[in-house]
Amino acid sequence: MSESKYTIGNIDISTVKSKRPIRKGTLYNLVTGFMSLMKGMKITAYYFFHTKEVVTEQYPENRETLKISERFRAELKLKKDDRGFLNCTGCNICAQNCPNGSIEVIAMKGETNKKEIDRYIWHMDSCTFCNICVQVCPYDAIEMKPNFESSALDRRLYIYQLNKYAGPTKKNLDKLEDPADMQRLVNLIKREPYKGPIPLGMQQGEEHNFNHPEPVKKIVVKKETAKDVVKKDV
Amino acid sequence: MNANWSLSNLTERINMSSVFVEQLMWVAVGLIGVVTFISLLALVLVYAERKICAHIQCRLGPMRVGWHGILQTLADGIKLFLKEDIIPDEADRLLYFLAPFFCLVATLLSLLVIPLSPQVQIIDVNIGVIYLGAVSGFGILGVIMAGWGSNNKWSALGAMRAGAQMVSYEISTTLSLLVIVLFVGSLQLSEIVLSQQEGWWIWRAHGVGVLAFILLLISSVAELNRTPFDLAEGESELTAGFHTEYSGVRFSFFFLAEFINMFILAAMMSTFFLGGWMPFHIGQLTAFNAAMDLIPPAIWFIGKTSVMIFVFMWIRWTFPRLRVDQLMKLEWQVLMPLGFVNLFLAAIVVLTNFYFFA
Amino acid sequence: MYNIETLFIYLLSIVSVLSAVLVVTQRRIIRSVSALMMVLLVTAGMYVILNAEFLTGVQVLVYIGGIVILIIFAIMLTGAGKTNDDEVDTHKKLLAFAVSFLFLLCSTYAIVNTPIKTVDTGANSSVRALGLKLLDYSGTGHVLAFEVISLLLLAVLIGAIVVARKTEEAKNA
Repeated sequence: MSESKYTIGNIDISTVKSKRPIRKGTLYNLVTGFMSLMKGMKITAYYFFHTKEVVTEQYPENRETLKISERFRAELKLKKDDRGFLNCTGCNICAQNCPNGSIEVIAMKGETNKKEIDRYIWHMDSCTFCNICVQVCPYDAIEMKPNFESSALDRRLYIYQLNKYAGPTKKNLDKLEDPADMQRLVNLIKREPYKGPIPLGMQQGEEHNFNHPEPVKKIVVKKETAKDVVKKDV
Repeated sequence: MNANWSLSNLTERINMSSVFVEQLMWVAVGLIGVVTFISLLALVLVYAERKICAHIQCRLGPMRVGWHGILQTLADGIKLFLKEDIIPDEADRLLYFLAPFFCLVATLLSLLVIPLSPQVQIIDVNIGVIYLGAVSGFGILGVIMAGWGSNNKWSALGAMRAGAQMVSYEISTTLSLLVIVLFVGSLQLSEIVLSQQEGWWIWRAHGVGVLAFILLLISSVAELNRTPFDLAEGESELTAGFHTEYSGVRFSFFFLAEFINMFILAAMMSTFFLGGWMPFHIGQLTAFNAAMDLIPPAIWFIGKTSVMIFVFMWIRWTFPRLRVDQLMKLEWQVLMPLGFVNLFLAAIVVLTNFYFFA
Repeated sequence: MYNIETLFIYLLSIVSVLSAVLVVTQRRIIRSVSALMMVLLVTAGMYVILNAEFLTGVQVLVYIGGIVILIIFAIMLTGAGKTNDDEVDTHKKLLAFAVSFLFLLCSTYAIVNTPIKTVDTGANSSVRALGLKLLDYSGTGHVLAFEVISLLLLAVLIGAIVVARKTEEAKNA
């Protein structure tokens, strides 16, 4: 019905133009193709002849001069402030957000009636180093350090307890008025030496303990409910 | 010493001339030499491939086994020998066993006629060019038999693709070699090298020679099943293609055959176009030629072949892979017509003596 | 009396006959093709003994490098490679045996009673001489046959393309 190609029925849509690629001739394609191949070969030849462009490291030999970027994620550490107190309150957000459950936070009710961590367990054998725990922590209590030399010969050695002491966080400690009180609490609740798998960053001279760790019992703080009161009476 | 059992007496009894027996012994020595040569060559070439590949990819390659990884290929060979020999359950035994031998025998036979230096050429057949083309047909048969005999769909598919590709690109290879045969007038490989006394064919037969060289380069890379033409055995495509089901020594035969084939094709390219063992002469400039003659011909040959092998590896680690239909299209729609046109033009150039130092 | 040539002729003939028998008796068709390749290879060997090296090269190049590969492609692409398990009837086998034995007798009689002249014509069998003879346009040359064969090859190529291309209906369907 219509002469022009660009119509739908009576409506003229010839203003709609699509960009078509211009086809060049065979000789043009041949020459430009060949030139692009040569350009590619020039780049690889450059990398071949310039050995300083090598990006890999010869690891055990260059250990002294090795520099690992600070962002590299290889080891989880609990953050301490300059007085040595932990930031972690045992809120369990990192454990809930861990994609494969590599963190166990065991909390207890402490002296200041606030939640404290008893033990902070990190399963390095299942950790994917994804950094989600660091990102979701609301108290800026953990970080990932670039210490990657952590190989061991037994899988059970990869379960770490990250805290050497447990107690009130520095925020709660700061709320105490009496500095002697603070000192007493810190001294009181220093944890006994951990008898399970070897913690990361162990001091020299400490003995290895290869016994299989007992399952850490969860300390559950139970509130007294009305039922218990009734039971007691009866 | 009992006179009845001397060699000449024995040969007289069965009416064999002692000259023939002497020739036979030379051939036997040559075969042993070839086998040794192949082993050493494989060691060097695999190491070279890994190092060149690594440096092009901004890394260092094998560095631990021996100084800078020199003994790496030896370690790989020992590992391959110690691997378990697995035979697929319903594999066609005859084909499965024969296929690696076909590939290796094809390369061995090709190696026998390459002129390495004026004195070192094991057999000088007077149909050299046709012999080379014929013997690479055995390699193709080996590939197809390997794929079919493995009783594996993807091996068979890979073998069919590889076989079709090798058969197609053999045409282009032969067409570019025929250009040089036109110029030389003889099929004998030693004649071809000797005819380059006044200059190598790549620059002596100018446009035609260069085009034939480029055609030969592309078809050789395709004939060898190397990237960018290695769809049939690419590691990410069909697992390992036709040699998926081979392990241990059998796989090492295929591997060896591929690397020695690379050497043979590089040697062919340098023999036909770059002068073989002939030093770089320019016409009749006697002083310059004499200076060039100081370097022994074997060094010339090794140098040229090494440059060609480096070009093969350079091409392999630069370009991406072609799809199988692009591959076939390239051969049948681009390279073969170009090859025929080139041959026609070469005939005109030869007839009108339009090349240097005619 | 016995020289190395005779030894090789005998050896090659035995291998040739055995392989030819294998070609027709093997159940698995791929083994049949392998035996065929053996026969062609042995024929090439015979050409070497007859001082026709060019023909050797061409035999291996064309027959083994082309035709055997073509047969293998045809077998693999049409799936005829499976084993053929039907057993042939006994009376058919007897009939076949009888006919082939008769043929063997006839041909042996014909070959033995035909005087075959082996004369050394002193012809030059080098490739150069072969080429010159093929393009010789005098009375003893073969240039007409050469041109006709090249025309035949051209017709074969065009015919193959015509048979194998996709027609317009097949493309649109």
